[in-house]
Amino acid sequence: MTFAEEPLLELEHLKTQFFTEDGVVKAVDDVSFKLHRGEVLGLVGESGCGKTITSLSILKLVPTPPGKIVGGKVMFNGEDLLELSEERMRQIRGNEISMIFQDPMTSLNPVFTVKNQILENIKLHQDVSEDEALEKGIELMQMVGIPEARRRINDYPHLFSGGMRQRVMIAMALSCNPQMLIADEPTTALDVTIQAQVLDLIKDLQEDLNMAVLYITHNLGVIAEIADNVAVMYAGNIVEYTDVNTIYDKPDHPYTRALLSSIPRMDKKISRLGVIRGTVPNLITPPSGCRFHPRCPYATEKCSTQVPPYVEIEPSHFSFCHYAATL
Amino acid sequence: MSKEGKIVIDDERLEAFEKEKEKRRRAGRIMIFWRRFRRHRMGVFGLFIIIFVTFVGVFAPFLAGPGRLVPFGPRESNVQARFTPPFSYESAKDTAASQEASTLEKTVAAFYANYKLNFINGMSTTALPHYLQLSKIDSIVDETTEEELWSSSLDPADYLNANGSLRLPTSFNGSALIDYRTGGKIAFQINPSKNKLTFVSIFLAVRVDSPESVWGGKFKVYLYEAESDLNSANYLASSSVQSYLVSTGPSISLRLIDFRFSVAGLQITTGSTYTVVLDTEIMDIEFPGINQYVVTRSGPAEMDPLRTTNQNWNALDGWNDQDTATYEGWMAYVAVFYVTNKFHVFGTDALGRDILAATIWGATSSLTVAFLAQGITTLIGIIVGTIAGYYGGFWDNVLMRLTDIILAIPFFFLLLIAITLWEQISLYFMAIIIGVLGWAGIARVVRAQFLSLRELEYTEAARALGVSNVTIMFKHLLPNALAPVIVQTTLGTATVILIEAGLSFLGFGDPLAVSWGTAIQWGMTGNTLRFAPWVATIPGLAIFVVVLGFNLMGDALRDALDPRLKN
Amino acid sequence: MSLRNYVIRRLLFSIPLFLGISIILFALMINAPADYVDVLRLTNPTMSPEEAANIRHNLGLDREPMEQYILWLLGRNSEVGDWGNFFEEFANFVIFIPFRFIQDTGVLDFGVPDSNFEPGFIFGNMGRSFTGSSINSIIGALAWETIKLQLASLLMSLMIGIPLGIFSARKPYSRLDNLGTTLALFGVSMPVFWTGIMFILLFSDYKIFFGIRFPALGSTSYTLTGNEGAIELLVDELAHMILPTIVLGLAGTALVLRLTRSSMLEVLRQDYILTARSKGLPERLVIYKHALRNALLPVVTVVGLSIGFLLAGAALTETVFSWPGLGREAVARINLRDYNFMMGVNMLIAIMVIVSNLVTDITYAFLDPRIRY
Repeated sequence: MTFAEEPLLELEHLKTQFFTEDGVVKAVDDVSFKLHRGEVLGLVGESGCGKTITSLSILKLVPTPPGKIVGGKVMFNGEDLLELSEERMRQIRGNEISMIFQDPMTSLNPVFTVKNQILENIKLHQDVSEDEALEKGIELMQMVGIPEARRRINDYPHLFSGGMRQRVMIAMALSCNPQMLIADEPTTALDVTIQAQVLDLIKDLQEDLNMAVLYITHNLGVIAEIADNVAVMYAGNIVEYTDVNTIYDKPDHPYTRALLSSIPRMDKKISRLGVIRGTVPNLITPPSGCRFHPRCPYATEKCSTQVPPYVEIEPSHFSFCHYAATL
Repeated sequence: MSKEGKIVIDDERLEAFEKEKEKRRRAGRIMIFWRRFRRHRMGVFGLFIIIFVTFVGVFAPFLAGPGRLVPFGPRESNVQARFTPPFSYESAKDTAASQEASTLEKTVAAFYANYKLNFINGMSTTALPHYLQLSKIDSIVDETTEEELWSSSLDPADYLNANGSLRLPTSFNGSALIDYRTGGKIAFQINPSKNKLTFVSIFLAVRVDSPESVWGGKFKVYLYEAESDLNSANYLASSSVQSYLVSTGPSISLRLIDFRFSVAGLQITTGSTYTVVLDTEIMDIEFPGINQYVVTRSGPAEMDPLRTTNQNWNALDGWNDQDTATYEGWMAYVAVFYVTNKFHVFGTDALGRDILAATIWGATSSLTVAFLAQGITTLIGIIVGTIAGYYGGFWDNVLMRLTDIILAIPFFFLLLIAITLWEQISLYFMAIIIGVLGWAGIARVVRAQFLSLRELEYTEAARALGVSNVTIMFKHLLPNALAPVIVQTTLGTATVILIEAGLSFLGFGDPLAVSWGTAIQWGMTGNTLRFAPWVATIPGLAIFVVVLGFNLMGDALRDALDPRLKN
Repeated sequence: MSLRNYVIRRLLFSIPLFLGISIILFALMINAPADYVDVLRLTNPTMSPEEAANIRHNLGLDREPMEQYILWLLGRNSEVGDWGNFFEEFANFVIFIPFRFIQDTGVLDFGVPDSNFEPGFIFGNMGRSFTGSSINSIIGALAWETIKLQLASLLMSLMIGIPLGIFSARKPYSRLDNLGTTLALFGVSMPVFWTGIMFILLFSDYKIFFGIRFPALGSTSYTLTGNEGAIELLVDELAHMILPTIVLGLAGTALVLRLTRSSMLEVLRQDYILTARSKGLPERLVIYKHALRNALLPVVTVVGLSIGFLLAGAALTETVFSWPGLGREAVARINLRDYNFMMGVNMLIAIMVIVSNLVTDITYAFLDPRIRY
């Protein structure tokens, strides 16, 4: 799938760091990607590789201190979000860019009713009366498939099941027709059957509303289902960026390959699943050169000393490796 | 993967990388914990305070006294030595300070010759000069009599009658001895320099030697014109008070009581001389072996109704709000020794007890009670919490209702009631009482931990393997429930120190031990707070520092054991 | 379960608790080596053993422990001081309570005879202290002094502690937070009676505050003549409250600050705060709407508990400031071995604790919809 127009969101060399007692954690280091209207971009990586921090950096919600965005640009609709005032940023959050989180059990405030929390968002960003906001809220709840929405909107979050809560979160996120939705592992904490429902819901709504979605997950199966393009992250870097078919058919970066070989696949017969040796490096003193080199089966001397370039192997297929397209 | 041959797999680097990971894994829980704890500088500082104070407490016999005390706890034999300053005059023989000291010593010895007269069965003379020193002598009105007092010879013939009985020293203002069997009168000549004589205040120092010491008396104060017949009823004003003193143990040494007799409202002429008569009627108490002596000594002093233990002091409240100068009055003193010099680094209290020594001994008392009581509390708390949490059902119900009962009674009141169960309180009884009554909090914490732990798979696994309940409880589950207990114990120790200080302050402590709370109480006796604020301040600071140490360490432990709370 | 059923059930469950508390207290005082009469003999050494025995008999101290307990619990014949014709008098008393009440108001005369029955604890009569006065009246006379001091200091600790705690938690490990937490740590580490003494020394004796001498003794001036106007009396009363309130309040403030800060930090780490921020809510709303209500739940517990112990006062602070409250009275009474008084006060407080726990739990359920009765 190609998107000719200007990208909706463009990250340029984003750097976010955490200043802790142990040292500076370089959680997001030089991350760049583009996201177009109506596109679903999957951001994949192991836990702790900086996916969530990237998404929080876009909304400028990195907990400060200790976190800080130290460089780069986040271009959204031609504006650099990092330059905007906090006031303007608040108008964008929840209105133009919405976010849903991993654990629906904890992401709704337990002491307020669902109505209170959905309407809060609507009234904040739209000039509507209480009754209009309520109607809109009920409509949203119906849209995300919550039965008896008119009655249940007055309930407290703990009375909803996990899947229903995630639906409430989605309803809340979509209440102002945002141009972009950041979904941070929205299905990870759910049962498998519920996962599929929520995933379908997000996909359907994305198509209906023509939203851009930044879908963050560690689950490559989910990516195959929903994403148009995929960015693979490792230790704060994006190591490969391409469209969803290429990533499964012709992965280039050794990490992507290793990742793919470690999950069972229906289309290939593998006698034994691959294992990535070693563990995720700590990001205070990340490995020099290519951050994957200590675990990389193809690493050479060069890998440990020089930071690899982004190589465009073929149109819209980038790999962050010295030996891109040669392995 | 066709070009695999070209690439060198860097096993060496991978190995180095893995080695570091492995090292960290091997360090074990304790090292990880210690590393986390060490990061809290304030926690380490708290630990340092605790170690330091424990050291002081354990070695108090050597630090506080000149090394001749029975270790571990100031008991009877230590009573007098604990008054002495840690630094003896002997150690400063050849310095300039020794000159000063020896002058001071002479003065003190001279005074004490008179003083001892009043405490005929008094303490051993050897220790006396070190802790009885004067400062407030300047307020005695009649210069000649003061001279007489200080120059008086040490010859017993001067103050004993031929038959060996005591001769009342009538030549100077009002130091007198009254036999408890007879009672008696003492007359003071007073000469008000200011226009109002508002009241006369008399301190009585009493020495009681008895296993069951009870002392009581009726006191009347009469104010006469100087020349009038002191026996007739033509007094200008009178006031009386009845008081008693109960000492709780054998061989109590000194008690200072103060009585104030208000004769407010009299028109007194400046420059005239008046006579104040203290008429004592000591109660006849049928306790053999008691020797009681009432000693008073008079002298004018700036009236300060700041503090007294007498009920009458409420009547003095009003003085507070007005200029003290108008209330120039007269006070009868015995032994108001507020001195700070290089030997009494932290000064002394009204009875000459060295505050540094008291502070050092206080560490022993406080930490004995704190560690013992908290140990008992933790032990009982763990056992009760474990049984209630692990077995649940009946035992849980019984034990938790018991916990509810204890938590529904104000803890301090409960302690006060329980402490009266002992006729004579010792540090150990105090510790046991605080420990036995204080376990409810820890029991609840442990129970909550066990309620969740017993549902875990490894408990099921252990049970399935046929491991006994006791083994599961104490070997498999308890170590996992300990983190909050350690934090609670550390913070609880701080609380016990505060409670012990509070009880001692109120007089419910061990009368034979010096506790910080007792020392603060010394600082509240009579006018001590006004004249010698350090007496109450310094032991209080000691409490503050130790409790701060435990709190700092508790906070650091909480952070180190529960990383969730740290960002 | 409805709220009403819940309350009734909780109150029913607390009956064995009351009995347990009273039995434990009773057991303690029965086992004490010295009783009130022993202390009396110390104050009056001329007292003969016969007199002492007589006093003991009049106070009922010579009875069997079980009998003493039941007399205390249910009541006694005030003339003979024991059971008398217990059941008859008891029934008489209970049956005629409303009639006697109406008769006492003087509206109607039913001709109900006066009862010699002195009701026991279950009728709300805490009995007589050994010194002879009714414990109800002693508590009535002193309770207000204690309560006003406690409430004022509680108010102070909440009004200062909560805002400072929120402030600290919003900027954790900043310089101001470090200052606040350090001071709070000092506050919980200082023995409160010592703080009181230091305050008296500094503010009353050395007059360090603009040379003003703050009153430090009692709850009113002794010099009052009785001719003062209401405003003067009020000013005098408030002036006497300043020092003890601040001393007690400082300790409470430190506690509330630490509690609020840690619970606020915990709440601010929750996902729903991130959700609220991602909706674009202003920081003010995030903190005061979404975080505060969750963060204050533990504070509610602490306040609820301290309201239960309100009447216990602060024995040490009251002693230092010679505040005529129940805490100081209890200390004095314990010195006299007046166990009846201690029993009465402790039972009253236990009831208040149990009721306030119940109220706290109900409040909690209102504040936190996840909790059901």
